[in-house]
Amino acid sequence: MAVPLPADLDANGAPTLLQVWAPRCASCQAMEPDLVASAYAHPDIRLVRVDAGAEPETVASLRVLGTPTVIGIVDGAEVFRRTGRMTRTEIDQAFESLAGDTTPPVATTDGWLRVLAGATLIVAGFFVELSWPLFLGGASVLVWGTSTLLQRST
Amino acid sequence: MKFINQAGWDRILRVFGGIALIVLYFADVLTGTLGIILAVAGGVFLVTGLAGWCPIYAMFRIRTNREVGAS
Repeated sequence: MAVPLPADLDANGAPTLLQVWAPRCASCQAMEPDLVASAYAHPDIRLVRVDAGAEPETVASLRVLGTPTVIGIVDGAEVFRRTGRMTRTEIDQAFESLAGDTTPPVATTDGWLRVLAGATLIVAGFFVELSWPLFLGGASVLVWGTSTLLQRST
Repeated sequence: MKFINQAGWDRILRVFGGIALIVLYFADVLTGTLGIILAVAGGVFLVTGLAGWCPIYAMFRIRTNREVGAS
Protein backbone atom coordinates (compact mmCIF):
# COMPACT_ATOMS: atom_id res chain seq x y z
CA MET A 1 0.00 0.00 0.00
CA ALA A 2 1.45 3.36 -1.04
CA VAL A 3 1.80 5.91 1.70
CA PRO A 4 1.98 9.71 1.24
CA LEU A 5 5.69 10.47 1.31
CA PRO A 6 7.65 13.70 1.77
CA ALA A 7 7.77 15.77 -1.43
CA ASP A 8 11.54 15.37 -1.86
CA LEU A 9 11.14 11.61 -2.28
CA ASP A 10 10.18 11.90 -5.94
CA ALA A 11 8.55 9.07 -7.85
CA ASN A 12 11.55 8.20 -10.04
CA GLY A 13 14.31 8.87 -7.55
CA ALA A 14 16.90 6.43 -6.30
CA PRO A 15 15.76 3.60 -4.02
CA THR A 16 15.61 5.05 -0.54
CA LEU A 17 15.88 3.71 2.97
CA LEU A 18 14.11 6.15 5.26
CA GLN A 19 14.67 5.95 8.99
CA VAL A 20 12.51 7.78 11.51
CA TRP A 21 14.50 8.25 14.70
CA ALA A 22 14.44 10.27 17.90
CA PRO A 23 17.33 11.66 19.97
CA ARG A 24 16.18 9.95 23.17
CA CYS A 25 15.47 6.61 21.49
CA ALA A 26 17.96 4.03 22.85
CA SER A 27 17.26 1.52 20.07
CA CYS A 28 17.93 4.24 17.47
CA GLN A 29 21.31 4.98 19.05
CA ALA A 30 22.12 1.28 19.29
CA MET A 31 21.55 0.64 15.57
CA GLU A 32 23.14 3.92 14.44
CA PRO A 33 26.67 2.55 13.74
CA ASP A 34 25.30 -0.45 11.82
CA LEU A 35 22.94 1.75 9.79
CA VAL A 36 25.74 4.14 8.81
CA ALA A 37 28.16 1.30 7.98
CA SER A 38 25.56 -0.47 5.86
CA ALA A 39 24.69 2.81 4.10
CA TYR A 40 28.36 3.25 3.12
CA ALA A 41 28.40 -0.33 1.83
CA HIS A 42 25.37 0.40 -0.40
CA PRO A 43 26.13 3.73 -2.12
CA ASP A 44 23.34 3.23 -4.70
CA ILE A 45 20.71 3.40 -1.96
CA ARG A 46 19.84 6.78 -0.55
CA LEU A 47 19.58 6.98 3.25
CA VAL A 48 17.16 9.62 4.51
CA ARG A 49 16.80 10.18 8.23
CA VAL A 50 13.84 11.95 9.78
CA ASP A 51 14.02 13.27 13.34
CA ALA A 52 10.58 12.52 14.79
CA GLY A 53 10.82 15.42 17.24
CA ALA A 54 11.91 17.98 14.64
CA GLU A 55 9.58 16.87 11.82
CA PRO A 56 6.29 15.73 13.43
CA GLU A 57 4.25 16.53 10.28
CA THR A 58 6.42 14.26 8.14
CA VAL A 59 6.17 11.50 10.74
CA ALA A 60 2.37 11.88 10.83
CA SER A 61 2.14 11.75 7.01
CA LEU A 62 4.20 8.54 7.07
CA ARG A 63 1.87 7.10 9.75
CA VAL A 64 4.85 6.16 11.88
CA LEU A 65 3.80 5.12 15.36
CA GLY A 66 7.17 4.47 16.99
CA THR A 67 10.94 4.77 16.65
CA PRO A 68 13.07 3.47 15.16
CA THR A 69 11.06 2.82 11.99
CA VAL A 70 12.76 1.92 8.73
CA ILE A 71 10.83 2.27 5.44
CA GLY A 72 12.04 1.05 2.03
CA ILE A 73 10.94 3.26 -0.87
CA VAL A 74 11.21 2.54 -4.61
CA ASP A 75 9.68 4.76 -7.31
CA GLY A 76 8.10 6.84 -4.56
CA ALA A 77 6.15 3.89 -3.16
CA GLU A 78 6.69 2.10 0.12
CA VAL A 79 7.90 -1.47 -0.42
CA PHE A 80 8.53 -2.48 3.18
CA ARG A 81 8.41 -1.17 6.72
CA ARG A 82 9.96 -2.31 9.96
CA THR A 83 9.55 -0.80 13.41
CA GLY A 84 11.93 -1.67 16.23
CA ARG A 85 15.62 -2.26 16.64
CA MET A 86 17.28 -4.11 13.76
CA THR A 87 20.48 -6.13 13.75
CA ARG A 88 23.30 -5.46 11.27
CA THR A 89 22.19 -8.49 9.23
CA GLU A 90 18.61 -7.22 9.08
CA ILE A 91 19.78 -3.74 8.05
CA ASP A 92 21.99 -5.24 5.32
CA GLN A 93 19.05 -7.32 4.08
CA ALA A 94 16.87 -4.21 3.97
CA PHE A 95 19.47 -2.37 1.85
CA GLU A 96 20.02 -5.39 -0.39
CA SER A 97 16.30 -5.86 -1.01
CA LEU A 98 16.28 -2.30 -2.43
CA ALA A 99 19.57 -2.77 -4.31
CA GLY A 100 18.09 -5.86 -5.96
CA ASP A 101 15.83 -3.56 -7.97
CA THR A 102 18.74 -1.87 -9.77
CA THR A 103 21.34 -4.02 -11.52
CA PRO A 104 22.70 -7.51 -10.66
CA PRO A 105 21.56 -10.24 -10.75
CA VAL A 106 18.70 -8.94 -12.92
CA ALA A 107 21.14 -7.70 -15.59
CA THR A 108 22.21 -11.25 -16.49
CA THR A 109 18.58 -12.22 -17.05
CA ASP A 110 18.15 -9.00 -19.04
CA GLY A 111 21.03 -9.99 -21.31
CA TRP A 112 19.69 -13.44 -22.05
CA LEU A 113 16.15 -12.15 -22.58
CA ARG A 114 17.46 -9.60 -25.12
CA VAL A 115 19.64 -12.19 -26.89
CA LEU A 116 16.68 -14.58 -27.13
CA ALA A 117 14.35 -11.83 -28.37
CA GLY A 118 16.91 -10.70 -30.97
CA ALA A 119 17.44 -14.26 -32.22
CA THR A 120 13.66 -14.78 -32.40
CA LEU A 121 13.25 -11.65 -34.53
CA ILE A 122 16.07 -12.71 -36.88
CA VAL A 123 14.65 -16.24 -37.28
CA ALA A 124 11.18 -14.75 -37.82
CA GLY A 125 12.71 -12.59 -40.57
CA PHE A 126 13.58 -15.75 -42.55
CA PHE A 127 9.99 -16.92 -42.47
CA VAL A 128 8.50 -13.55 -43.43
CA GLU A 129 9.94 -13.21 -46.94
CA LEU A 130 13.39 -12.10 -45.68
CA SER A 131 12.03 -9.01 -43.96
CA TRP A 132 14.90 -6.53 -43.48
CA PRO A 133 13.22 -4.54 -40.66
CA LEU A 134 12.95 -7.76 -38.63
CA PHE A 135 16.60 -8.63 -39.36
CA LEU A 136 17.86 -5.18 -38.40
CA GLY A 137 15.64 -4.96 -35.31
CA GLY A 138 16.65 -8.47 -34.25
CA ALA A 139 20.35 -7.74 -34.81
CA SER A 140 20.09 -4.54 -32.73
CA VAL A 141 18.41 -6.36 -29.86
CA LEU A 142 20.99 -9.18 -30.15
CA VAL A 143 23.87 -6.68 -29.88
CA TRP A 144 22.12 -4.99 -26.93
CA GLY A 145 21.76 -8.32 -25.12
CA THR A 146 25.33 -9.39 -25.88
CA SER A 147 26.73 -6.10 -24.59
CA THR A 148 24.65 -6.51 -21.40
CA LEU A 149 26.10 -9.98 -20.86
CA LEU A 150 29.66 -8.78 -21.58
CA GLN A 151 29.25 -5.92 -19.10
CA ARG A 152 28.11 -8.41 -16.46
CA SER A 153 31.05 -10.78 -17.11
CA THR A 154 33.73 -8.06 -16.84
CA MET B 1 18.92 5.76 -13.82
CA LYS B 2 15.73 3.79 -14.36
CA PHE B 3 14.77 0.86 -12.23
CA ILE B 4 13.12 -2.45 -12.97
CA ASN B 5 9.40 -2.26 -12.22
CA GLN B 6 8.26 -5.40 -14.09
CA ALA B 7 8.23 -8.99 -12.88
CA GLY B 8 9.81 -11.75 -14.97
CA TRP B 9 6.45 -13.07 -16.21
CA ASP B 10 5.43 -9.53 -17.17
CA ARG B 11 8.62 -8.99 -19.21
CA ILE B 12 8.45 -12.35 -21.00
CA LEU B 13 4.78 -11.74 -21.85
CA ARG B 14 5.59 -8.28 -23.23
CA VAL B 15 8.67 -9.39 -25.20
CA PHE B 16 7.12 -12.37 -26.94
CA GLY B 17 3.69 -10.72 -27.27
CA GLY B 18 5.41 -7.73 -28.85
CA ILE B 19 7.44 -9.94 -31.22
CA ALA B 20 4.26 -11.79 -32.21
CA LEU B 21 2.45 -8.54 -33.09
CA ILE B 22 5.44 -7.23 -35.11
CA VAL B 23 5.90 -10.51 -37.01
CA LEU B 24 2.17 -10.75 -37.76
CA TYR B 25 2.30 -7.23 -39.20
CA PHE B 26 5.28 -7.99 -41.45
CA ALA B 27 3.64 -11.28 -42.48
CA ASP B 28 0.63 -9.25 -43.70
CA VAL B 29 -1.69 -10.99 -41.24
CA LEU B 30 -2.33 -7.64 -39.52
CA THR B 31 -3.08 -5.02 -42.15
CA GLY B 32 -4.39 -1.49 -42.52
CA THR B 33 -4.52 1.15 -39.80
CA LEU B 34 -5.30 -1.41 -37.11
CA GLY B 35 -2.26 -3.43 -38.22
CA ILE B 36 0.01 -0.39 -37.90
CA ILE B 37 -1.41 0.46 -34.46
CA LEU B 38 -0.90 -3.12 -33.25
CA ALA B 39 2.63 -3.25 -34.72
CA VAL B 40 3.57 0.00 -32.94
CA ALA B 41 2.00 -1.34 -29.73
CA GLY B 42 4.06 -4.51 -30.24
CA GLY B 43 7.22 -2.41 -30.57
CA VAL B 44 6.40 -0.55 -27.35
CA PHE B 45 5.71 -3.86 -25.55
CA LEU B 46 9.01 -5.27 -26.87
CA VAL B 47 11.14 -2.29 -25.81
CA THR B 48 9.53 -1.87 -22.36
CA GLY B 49 9.77 -5.63 -21.77
CA LEU B 50 13.44 -5.73 -22.75
CA ALA B 51 14.23 -2.69 -20.61
CA GLY B 52 12.18 -4.02 -17.66
CA TRP B 53 10.85 -0.53 -17.00
CA CYS B 54 7.38 0.68 -17.94
CA PRO B 55 6.76 4.47 -17.87
CA ILE B 56 3.02 3.95 -17.35
CA TYR B 57 3.72 1.79 -14.29
CA ALA B 58 6.10 4.45 -12.94
CA MET B 59 3.51 7.17 -13.53
CA PHE B 60 0.91 5.32 -11.46
CA ARG B 61 3.47 3.85 -9.02
CA ILE B 62 2.65 0.30 -10.06
CA ARG B 63 5.23 -2.47 -9.76
CA THR B 64 4.62 -6.08 -10.74
CA ASN B 65 7.95 -7.15 -9.17
CA ARG B 66 7.11 -5.84 -5.72
CA GLU B 67 8.85 -7.82 -3.00
CA VAL B 68 8.38 -7.61 0.73
CA GLY B 69 11.74 -7.06 2.38
CA ALA B 70 12.43 -6.83 6.09
CA SER B 71 9.00 -6.69 7.62
